[in-house]
Amino acid sequence: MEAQENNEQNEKKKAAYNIGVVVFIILVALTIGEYFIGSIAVGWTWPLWLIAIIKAVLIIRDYMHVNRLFAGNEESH
Amino acid sequence: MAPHTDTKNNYRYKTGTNRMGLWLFLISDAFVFGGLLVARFYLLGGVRPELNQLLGLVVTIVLLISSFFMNRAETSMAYGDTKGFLNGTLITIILGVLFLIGVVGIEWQIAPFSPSDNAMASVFYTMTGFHAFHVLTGVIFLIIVYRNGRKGIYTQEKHWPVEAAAVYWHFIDVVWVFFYPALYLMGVPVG
Repeated sequence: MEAQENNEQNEKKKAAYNIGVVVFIILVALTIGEYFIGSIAVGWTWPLWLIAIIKAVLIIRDYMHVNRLFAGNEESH
Repeated sequence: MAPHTDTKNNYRYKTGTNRMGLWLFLISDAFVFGGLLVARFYLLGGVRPELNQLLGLVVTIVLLISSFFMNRAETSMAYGDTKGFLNGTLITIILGVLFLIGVVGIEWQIAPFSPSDNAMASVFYTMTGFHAFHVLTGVIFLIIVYRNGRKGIYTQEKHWPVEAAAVYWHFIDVVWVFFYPALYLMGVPVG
């Protein structure tokens, strides 16, 4: 019984780690993308704003866990 | 109701309240950063300072990596993995210090202007300085949390300070997500 619980716990932890990895890869890819946009297309600002907003949303949703604010007194993990 | 359950519910209630307070603080702080961002576009318009592009990219990636490890540290604590939490926090602290060295220690020294030269210089030093101060306070916060973690103060059920430190750290990252393109990428470079 305890072993099964530990297994479930490990699976959940692994899934949470994986989300962190996927978000990180997207953030780095977007950052490199905006670097090239800034270097090549000088003065082209709207794609840079769009990328910044996407990055901010990802961090706020998946790293800052904004949804916990609305979870009340329930478990956060 | 058993005393243990009562304590646990109390802790959850307090955490919910603390969480709301932290987010309210961050929103008010975001207005200050928003004001700086508006000042940058009002004063500089379609030009930007001539800065070291590669250094800007490197410090940005360093901050993103630190956010990744902070997230990993918090997740570890949430699942009772103290060792993972300590390792992740320590790496985050080191990367935070590296970011500070990159911006304050290097970029400030090689920038082609001094703070009092013109509006562009003032905007640059105010934005990066105010952000760097937040990074510094974040590092101090993380050192305290790391020290407490080593003492075994946090558990899987009770680790609000870890969550608070993580949310604060990610907030610093969100601010840089907007400051980086505003200072390094948007507009025509002017020396």
